[in-house]
Amino acid sequence: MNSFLKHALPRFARLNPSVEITVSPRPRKHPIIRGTYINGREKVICVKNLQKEQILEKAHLLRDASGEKLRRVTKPVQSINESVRGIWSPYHGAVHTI
Amino acid sequence: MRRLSRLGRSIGIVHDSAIPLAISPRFCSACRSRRLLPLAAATNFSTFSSRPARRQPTTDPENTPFSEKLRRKLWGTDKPPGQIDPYNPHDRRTRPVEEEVSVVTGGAEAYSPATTWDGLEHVGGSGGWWEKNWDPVYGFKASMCFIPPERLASPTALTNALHRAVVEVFTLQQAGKPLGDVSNIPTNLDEDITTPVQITLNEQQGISLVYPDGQVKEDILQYAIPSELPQEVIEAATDETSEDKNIPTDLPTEGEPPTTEKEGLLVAGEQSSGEHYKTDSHLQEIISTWNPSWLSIPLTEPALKFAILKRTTQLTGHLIPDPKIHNLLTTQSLLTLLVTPPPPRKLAQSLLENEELVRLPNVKVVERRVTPVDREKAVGRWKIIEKELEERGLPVLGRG
Repeated sequence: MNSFLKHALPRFARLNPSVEITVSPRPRKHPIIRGTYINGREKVICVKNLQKEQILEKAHLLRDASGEKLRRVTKPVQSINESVRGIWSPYHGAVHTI
Repeated sequence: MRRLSRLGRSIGIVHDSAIPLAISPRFCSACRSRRLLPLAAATNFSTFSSRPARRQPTTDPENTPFSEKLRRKLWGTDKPPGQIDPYNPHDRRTRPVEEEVSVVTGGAEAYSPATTWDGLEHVGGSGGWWEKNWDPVYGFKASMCFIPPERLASPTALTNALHRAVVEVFTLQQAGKPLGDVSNIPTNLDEDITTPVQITLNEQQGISLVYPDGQVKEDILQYAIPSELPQEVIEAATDETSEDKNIPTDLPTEGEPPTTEKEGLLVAGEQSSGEHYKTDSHLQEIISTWNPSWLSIPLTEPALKFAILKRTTQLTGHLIPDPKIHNLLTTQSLLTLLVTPPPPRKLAQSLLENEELVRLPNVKVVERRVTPVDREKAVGRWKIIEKELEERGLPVLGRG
């Protein structure tokens, strides 16, 4: 973790300016990285005994996550007001003539 | 009618084999033994012994047991020795009679418990040894330490101190004096007399010192009072002390000369210790005038190296670790070791020294733990929370 903070963190922070990063000690506790998302959720990953490359992978994982709980995605399109008829497609049904 | 069944004694089963079976065999062995054994027989196996009564020495020949009679016959007396019954309180044949402790009852009314510890007996502790030997009130001075408590931090002051150590050590070496005496030169002189001395290193001539005048060399040799005094001086000092017992015998034992010259120097140095070191800018000007070849002096000779290190430690307060001494090959490496600041002891400090990380606007490095209070303060809620907690009389921090 110390190696990650000294050598890998500056580049990660420079490449991701939209991510706000705070480094603080956690006395007598394992090192973690905690992702705080705009939906109010948090994701915490313990990085005890990990090399700096492995920690960087975890940081990328947290950066790419949306903050939502992990669920199996069965439908390609999500909507808060789903229609019974489904999405209109120009290639199905009657041919639309203008 | 007894409702709880009484369990038989385990010892009763043992007697079962000795008694003929007069009862139907359908009874278990425990029941049979209980029925067969009368109460008087059962008490023979009681742990509540009646032996003390039997073992009391009796004069009645009828009540005396057979073994006792035999013993008396063997010993030829009515009171044979041995066979003390430890459980019989009346058996005092060999037991020493305890003297009754007399209880003082007269002072109970006059007793009053102490409210302070003044006047009470002090038990334990070191008897104030540390206070008498180490407290500054009792005469301990940190300035008397060989290594000064305050380490020099300025690079120019460190360079000057190393230059002074090198000049003093080589002066002693060229004068043929023991190098260990260099530590006897007072460190708190009015003015560093070695700053104008130039050190030059030539491949042919070796190391040569160029003094501004002869007085500097004489002063250094004069201040370097030998640690091992001549035999005549030691004998004279011991004679004086043997004549007068009131004078402490610190002169010959600690190796300090019985001269008043050094005492005068020390007193003068203590008075002007505040202006010992010059300003950095002044020192920088002096350092720039030195021949840079003094930094390439080899430290290969162990005695020379040790003397320079010892004097440098005494002047700067930097204790050189043993593993690093081996790698010090020139005065430049020693100076680099002295000037290099120690690594930060905390990770946060080393991160704050990383300028690339500190310059990034989206990175914040905190030296201590981020608490929930800090998170509330970051979003501006803590003042409201604190106010509401105080209104309700609840503890603001902690659990009260």
